[in-house]
Amino acid sequence: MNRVLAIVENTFKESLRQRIMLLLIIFSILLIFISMFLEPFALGESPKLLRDFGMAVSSLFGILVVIIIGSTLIHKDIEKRTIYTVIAKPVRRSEIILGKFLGLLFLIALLESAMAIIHQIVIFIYEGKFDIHILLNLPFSLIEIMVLLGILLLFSSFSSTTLTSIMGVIFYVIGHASPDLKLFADATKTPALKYIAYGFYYILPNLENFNLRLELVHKLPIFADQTLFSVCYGFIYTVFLLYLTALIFEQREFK
Amino acid sequence: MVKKILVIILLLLIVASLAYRIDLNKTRHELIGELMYFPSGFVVRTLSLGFYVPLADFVWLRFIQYYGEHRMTDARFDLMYHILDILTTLDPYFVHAYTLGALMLTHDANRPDQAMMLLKKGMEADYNEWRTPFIYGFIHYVFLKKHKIAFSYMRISAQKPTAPDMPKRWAAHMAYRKLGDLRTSLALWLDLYNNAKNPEERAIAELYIKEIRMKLDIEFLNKKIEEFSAKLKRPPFSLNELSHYGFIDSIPSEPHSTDTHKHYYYIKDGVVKSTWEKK
Repeated sequence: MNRVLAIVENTFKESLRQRIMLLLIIFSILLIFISMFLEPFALGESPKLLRDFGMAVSSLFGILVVIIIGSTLIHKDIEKRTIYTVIAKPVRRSEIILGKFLGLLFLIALLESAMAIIHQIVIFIYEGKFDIHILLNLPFSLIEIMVLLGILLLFSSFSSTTLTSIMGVIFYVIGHASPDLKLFADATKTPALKYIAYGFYYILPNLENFNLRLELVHKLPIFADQTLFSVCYGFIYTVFLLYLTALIFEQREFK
Repeated sequence: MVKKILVIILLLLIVASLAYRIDLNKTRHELIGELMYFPSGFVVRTLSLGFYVPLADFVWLRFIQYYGEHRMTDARFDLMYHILDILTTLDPYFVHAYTLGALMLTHDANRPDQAMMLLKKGMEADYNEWRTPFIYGFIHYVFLKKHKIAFSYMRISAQKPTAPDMPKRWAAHMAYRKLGDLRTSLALWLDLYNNAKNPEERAIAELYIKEIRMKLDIEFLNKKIEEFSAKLKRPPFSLNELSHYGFIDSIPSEPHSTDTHKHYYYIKDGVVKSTWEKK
């Protein structure tokens, strides 16, 4: 456990030190504040805009960080040859993967939480009251990031940085287009195509399961069972991805 | 160093002025017109990668610019429905886009048919929303003068769980003034009276209730006069005669009567009138 914690701490610090991180933080906070000044153009819809922008910015921030930093997480160690030092120690490769995963996830969780607080402050400045309800976006955004980080680690365990980030983007796009894949599967008349489409739909990650922004901003009912299933889905999918990553990483030879 | 900074500033200025020059060749609505090339809101929704709600906000901001620009210039709103359709596909619960958009489509674009399509889409998207059927009824009442449809949708709107009294008031008013359905109107005003949240609302409902009750009384008494005339082959001299011959149990009291101002029904030129109507 201590070994994993050491890797978590190291990944956390290392990721935080990256300049791109600072840039993204400043840019995201600025965007949250800018949404306050959209009132003259919004024709009475500025409270909605304020919420939408805040939630979207914090989610987008997490996605950008995970794709930019997550895709280099393992490669950097290989390029700098620090991985040799780590694997030479009594640490299992699966522990390296888990440590890297948790380190970056904690960092993003911390920053997204800070953004959610800033968002609440902006809402308070604008409306004189907080909107605690929309904070529910935070855990779901983090589950989405968890899955995405799992995918990135999986690809980085056997491919290059460029391919990893491209695959990250592709899986992100597919993950959000999943409902359309199901629509296609429902609509197609060819049985083979239908089964293939259904197969892909159920195997590929459905990131729309973690998108509650529409429900939150319009205060639509969120059903407990659906939410629970989504949380379980996210966790199990991540465990599956990490397990697969660990398996591949265990086999990898470092020369 | 200063030289380098100056070069950077100069380059930025050139780029900015070029961008400005390029935009000079485009009208502002041409920029918005790009939305026309999206085949449908579904495609935009897929391309939004889960960020369809903020994208709907962005389209909303563009829509307001589009409206303002055309309102001030050529008053042509050819793309209005298309933009609103994309917007409401991205965010099906954007009530303002349905309601305000429908009013703009009817009033400014003179396309009530598109307004109705948009509002029906809104009603399908959120069954519990009262504002979409309300505006549907409002447009039929104010612009299209189709009072029966207007009344139906006002009643639908009034039945929604979050609806305020307003649609019920409109429905009650329409039933009375436009459709002449006194009984329905009375039932609605009684409901409004019993559930009034302040004395002013109660007073308005009371006014309508008294007037409708008076009209119903007059309607009833006139029917009895007809029965009387048919049976006795002459009209009654007074309302007392109706009671005397057993056509009515008693003369109904005029609802407007108070302790200080007495009002009553009487017969003039063969029909029943109220002293309240004279004032």
